[in-house]
Amino acid sequence: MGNGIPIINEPVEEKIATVIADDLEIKGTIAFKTSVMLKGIFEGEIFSEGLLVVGPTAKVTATISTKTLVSHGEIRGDVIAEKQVVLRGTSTHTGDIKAPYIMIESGAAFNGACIMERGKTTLPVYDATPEDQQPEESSGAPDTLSVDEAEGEEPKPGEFL
Amino acid sequence: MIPEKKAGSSEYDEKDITTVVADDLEIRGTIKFKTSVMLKGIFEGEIFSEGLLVVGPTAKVTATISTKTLVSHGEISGNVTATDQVTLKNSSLHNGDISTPNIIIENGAVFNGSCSMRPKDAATG
Repeated sequence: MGNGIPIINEPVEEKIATVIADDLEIKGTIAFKTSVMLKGIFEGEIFSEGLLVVGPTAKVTATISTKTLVSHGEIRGDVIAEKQVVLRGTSTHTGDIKAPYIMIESGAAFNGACIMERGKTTLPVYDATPEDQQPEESSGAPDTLSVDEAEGEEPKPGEFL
Repeated sequence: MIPEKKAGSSEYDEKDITTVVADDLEIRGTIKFKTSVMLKGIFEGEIFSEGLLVVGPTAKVTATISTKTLVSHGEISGNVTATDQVTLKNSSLHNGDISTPNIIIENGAVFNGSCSMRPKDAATG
């Protein structure tokens, strides 16, 4: 194609870094950088800088942010993908999708809104994750605290004279 | 007669389509048809179809569309209700909501809007 459309490069299961089997149920948050395939039940949040594959047996109820999502299974929740979302023919998706490229195969069910923005560039520009760099403006807090605490017990000048 | 897809592909042959509206024709208003229409020009208004609507790659359609099948290679702004299937080809741009039991969005297509599909199990009604 050569016009910026990402080629769907779905690795075989053996090449995926983590494969979570279909008898495993996870509730909580997962974060990863390379690739994960979910085949079981997941509830919570997914933060990925790589590829998330939702297997045909998987049931995922999650807020997902990833680079690429390939779904064969069931997802409930909103998805933000930096690069691409692929809904395969067996997949069911209930929730909003935001991604620059989306492919939906015949047979897939998608209920939700779809937002595609290709403003800047077709290739994902890696920007530092905001989670690590949230500057906490903590300088103001101790001051006000100390004022409150110091009230009434301020050392009176001249008392010890 | 609603044309059949070409053997071994999901494309329709332009020759099989009853009406082909060429790319220099601009239409404003309402069109209604039962078999098949291919739009290649500019259309604004409403489309009521009981058959196949093909939006060509050069077409710019601003319309509320209700059809059986929609295949888009071009630009559509407006809401679409399809009783059978919607296909957004890789060159297509769609701004508006889609309601259909079966949707195909090719890699490269742009879709901004919401999509509502009846669950597969209940799609018999």
